[in-house]
Amino acid sequence: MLLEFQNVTKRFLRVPSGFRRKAEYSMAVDDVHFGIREGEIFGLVGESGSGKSTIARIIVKLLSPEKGRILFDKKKVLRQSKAEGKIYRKQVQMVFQNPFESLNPRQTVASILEEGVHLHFSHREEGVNKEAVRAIVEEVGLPVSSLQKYPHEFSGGQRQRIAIARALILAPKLLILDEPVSSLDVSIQSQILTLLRGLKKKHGMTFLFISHDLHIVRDFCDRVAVLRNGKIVETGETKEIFDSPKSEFTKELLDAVFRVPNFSREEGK
Amino acid sequence: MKNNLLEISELSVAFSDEENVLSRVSFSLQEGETLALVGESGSGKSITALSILQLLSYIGATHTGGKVKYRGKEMTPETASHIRGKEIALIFQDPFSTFNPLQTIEKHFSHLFRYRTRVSKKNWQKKMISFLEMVHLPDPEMLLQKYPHECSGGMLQRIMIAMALVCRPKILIADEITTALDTTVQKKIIGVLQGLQKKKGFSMIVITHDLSLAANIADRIVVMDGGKVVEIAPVKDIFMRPLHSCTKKLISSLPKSAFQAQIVLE
Ligand SMILES: Nc1ncnc2c1ncn2[C@@H]1O[C@H](COP(=O)(O)OP(=O)(O)OP(=O)(O)O)[C@@H](O)[C@H]1O
Ligand SMILES: Nc1ncnc2c1ncn2[C@@H]1O[C@H](COP(=O)(O)OP(=O)(O)OP(=O)(O)O)[C@@H](O)[C@H]1O
Ligand SMILES: [Mg+2]
Ligand SMILES: [Mg+2]
Repeated sequence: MLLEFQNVTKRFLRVPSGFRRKAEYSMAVDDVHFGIREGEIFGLVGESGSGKSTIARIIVKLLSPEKGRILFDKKKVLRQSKAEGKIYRKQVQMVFQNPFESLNPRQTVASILEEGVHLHFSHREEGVNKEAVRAIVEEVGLPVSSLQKYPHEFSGGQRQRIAIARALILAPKLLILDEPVSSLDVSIQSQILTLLRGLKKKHGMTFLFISHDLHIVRDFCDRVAVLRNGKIVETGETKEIFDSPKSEFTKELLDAVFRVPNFSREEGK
Repeated sequence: MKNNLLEISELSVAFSDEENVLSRVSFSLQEGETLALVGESGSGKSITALSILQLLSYIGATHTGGKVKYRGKEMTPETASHIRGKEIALIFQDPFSTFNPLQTIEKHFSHLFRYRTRVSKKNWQKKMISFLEMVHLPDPEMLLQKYPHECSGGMLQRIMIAMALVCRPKILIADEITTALDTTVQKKIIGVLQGLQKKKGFSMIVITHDLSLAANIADRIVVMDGGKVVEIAPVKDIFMRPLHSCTKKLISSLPKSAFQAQIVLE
C-alpha cells in the first residue's frame, strides 16, 4: 500500500457555541478506512457533500483530522517533522475541485508552472525546466501560446487543464484529482485520461480520482470506494462494484445515471 | 408557432485586438423551450452566455457585431442591467464568480431578497429555507450560517441554482451546473427545474459538456465549435442524423454505457 488512510475522523463545527448554545459538530469524515496500492487508480465516488473533498484535503494536510492515522510509504503522515513534511509535499500533489483555488490570478501560466518546477527541480538546468513546462502544456491539449496568458483568460475546461498540468509537472508519486475533468467534453476528457494512464504505466504513478461521472470511473479506475454521509458504504474492484453493487446506495447512484434515450424507437411510433 | 423570447443574431465577440472568439453566432429561444448548448472545451459557450447578458466588459471583451433581442427589443448594457438577474438569470460555471467568500449564505440570499424581490423582510428566512429545500439541500437552517468555503462543491452548485430561482426568471441560463452533483441529486435537480418549467413556463439554456444530460433535458441542441454555431436541431435529429462532423465526433466519443440502446451512425 502506498497510502493507508486508517480510521480517520474529521468533524466540523456545526453551530458555534455562544449564548445559551453548546457547540455542535457534524461528522464530515466518519471513521473512514481505505488503502491505495502503488500504481493503481483508486476512485472515490458518492453523495454530494459526503466528505470526498475533505478526505483529499486531509491527505494533503490542509486539514487535520481529530482521529486516525495516515501512512504514506509506511511512514506516518500526521505529526511529521519539518524535513519529512517537505519531502511529503513533493510526493503528493492535488488538483482541486475548483481550479481557481489553486491558480494565482496574478501569475501567467508560465510562471505558475515554472514556480513549482524551480522549487522541486532546482538542481536541473534552466533550459530543461523550460522545456518541461512547454511539453506539459501541449500534453494537456493547450497551445504553447497559453503560457503568456493569465488564468482568467481561459475557459472553465482550459483552466482545469492548467491545474492538472501544474500538478503533473512536479512528477508526484500520488496525485489526487478532485473532479478534474468535470467540465471537459468527452474527447478532451479521454485525452487527459490517456495521459494519466500513460504516466501510471511509465512511472508507476498512483492516483486518487474523485468523480461524480460514473461512466468515467467505470472506465478509468482499478478500485472504487463509495462514500455516503462521511462513511464508506463499500469498496472493491471497479467491475465488481458496477456489475454487482452490494449496497442500496450504490445501486441508486448507478440507476440514476443519465443515458441517451432510444430515439429510434420513439421515431418508429 | 410560439414566440421567440430571445433572439441572437450574428453575434461576434473579440478580446482586444485579437481575432473573434465568437463569430456570427445566431440562435433563438422560444417561450417554454429548453436549449442545450454543447461543444468542445473552449468553443465559446460561456462567452455566449456572458454576451447575451451584456457582461463582456467584465472580462475585457467587446461585441464586434450582431445583436441580442429580448422580447423583440434589442439589449444594450443599460437595458440589460434591469433584465439581468430578474428576467434572465445566469448561473456561472465557477462558483467563485457568484459567492463572496466573506459572507454567509444567508447574507447572499438577503441581498437578493432586498434588491431583487418584494418579499417582506419577515418572510425572508422562511423563503430562503424553502428555496434551499427545493434544491434538495439537507439541513437548510444550518446551511444559511455557513460561509462558501464551508460548503462542498455540489452544495455550492445547488445554492447557486436556488439563488437564480429567487427572482422567478423568464429565462434561466445554466453553465455546467451539475458537474459537482452525484447522479441521484443530478436527476432530482433536473426534475425540479423541469417541474418549475411546466408550472411557470420559463425557458432554459443549458450549457453542458454532458451529451447524455442534454439528450434528456433539451428540446433543441446548439452545437458550437471554434466560436461558431455549427449545427442546430431538435434533440432527436442531433442523435439520429447528426450533420456536422463536430457533432458526430461528440456523439461517437460517448462511452457505450451512455446509451440506453445502441445508436448506429451513418
Ligand atoms: N471548512 C469547513 N467548515 C465546515 N464544514 C465543512 C468545511 N469543509 C467541508 N465542510 C462540510 O463537510 C461536509 C463534506 O464536504 P466535502 O466538501 O468533503 O464533500 P464532497 O464529498 O466533496 O461533496 P461534493 O461532491 O459536493 O464536492 C459537507 O457537509 C460540508 O458542508
Ligand atoms: N478573458 C479572456 N481573455 C482572452 N481569451 C479568453 C478569455 N476568456 C475566454 N477566452 C477564450 O475564449 C474562448 C472561448 O471561451 P469560453 O469560456 O466561452 O469556452 P467554453 O466553450 O465555455 O469552454 P469550457 O467548456 O471549457 O468552459 C476560449 O478559447 C478562451 O481561451
Ligand atoms: Mg467535493
Ligand atoms: Mg465554459
